[in-house]
Amino acid sequence: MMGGYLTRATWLHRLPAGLKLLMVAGMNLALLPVQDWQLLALFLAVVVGLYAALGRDAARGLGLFKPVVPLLVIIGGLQGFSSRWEDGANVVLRLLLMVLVADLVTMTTTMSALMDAVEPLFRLLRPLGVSSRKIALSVALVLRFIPVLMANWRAREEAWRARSRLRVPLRMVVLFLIETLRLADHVAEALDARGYGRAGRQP
Amino acid sequence: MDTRAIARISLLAAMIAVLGLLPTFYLPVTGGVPITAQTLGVMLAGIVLGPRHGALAVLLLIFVVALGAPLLAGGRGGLGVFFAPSADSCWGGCRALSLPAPSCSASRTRRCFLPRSWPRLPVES
Repeated sequence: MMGGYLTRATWLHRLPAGLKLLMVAGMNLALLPVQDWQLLALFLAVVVGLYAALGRDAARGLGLFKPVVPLLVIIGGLQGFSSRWEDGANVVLRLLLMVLVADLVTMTTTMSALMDAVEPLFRLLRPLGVSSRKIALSVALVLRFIPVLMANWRAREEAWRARSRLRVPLRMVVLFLIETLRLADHVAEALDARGYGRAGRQP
Repeated sequence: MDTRAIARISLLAAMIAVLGLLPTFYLPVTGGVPITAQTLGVMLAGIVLGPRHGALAVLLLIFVVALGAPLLAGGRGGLGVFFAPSADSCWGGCRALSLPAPSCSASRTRRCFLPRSWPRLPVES
C-alpha cells in the first residue's frame, strides 16, 4: 500500500508480470465466497510467510499497515456487532489478504513491466478510441512532471515565506494551477514541434 | 484527442498528485485516509478540463498509482490501495467529477460519461 519496490531481485521478480496480475485477480475472486475465518486466517498466515521468505526489507513493509488498523477494527467491530463476530473476522481477514497480496505484486514488479503487461488490454480497447501509445505518453508525462511541479510549488512557498509570517494560504493553489496549464501548453507545443501529433509518421 | 489535450490531462493529473504530497496542507491521518489538498485538485481538474477530460485525468492518476507509484495522499500507492478500506475515496474522486464539472465547464451540453453505478470494489463483504 505504500508502493515500496524491492530493488533486490527475488524469485517473485522473475515471474512474468501478467501472470502475477492474473493470480491476484483469480485469488481475489476465489476468496470472495469463502465464509470460513479459519481458512482465511490460514491463507493470511501463508501470505505473511511469503513476506518473511522474501527477506527482512519485505517484512518491514508489513509495519506500514499501522494507519489502517483503526479502520479495520471499526469495520470488523461493526460487522461483528450487527451480525455474528465471525462475519467481522471474515471481512477484516479478507481485506488484509487482498491488500497484502496486491502489495506483493507492487513490491516485485517494475512499473515498465506492469505497463507492458496491461498493454494488450489497451489494444483490445482500440475500437473505442483508446490508443496505447497515447496512454504511454501520458503516464510518462505524469511521472516526469511531478518533480517539476513539486519544485515549482516549493519555489512559490519559499517566496511566500520570505515575504510573510502567515501560513501559506490555499489560494496559492489557483496560481499553481494557472502555471500548470501554461506549462501543459508549452509541453504540447514542444511535442508538436518534434512531430508528435503529425498524422502518418509518429514516433 | 490532440496533443494539447493529452498534455493538459497529464499535467493536471500530475498536479493532483503533487497536491496530495505537499506537507503544507496535511492533516494527520483520520482513520487511514489522510486529508490533503488532493480532493481540491480533483475538483479543480473537473472544473478546468470539463467532465470528460477531468475524469480522464483522475483515471490516469489512478492508473499510474496502480502501476506502483506512491502518489496518493500521504505517499501511498501500489495495487494494494485498491483493496484497502480507503479504496472508495479514490473511486469517489472519479465520481466526484460529475458534481462540479457539468455546472462549471464551458461545454454545458456534454453530460459526464460516468454512470451513476460506477463499479464499487467489494470491500464491504
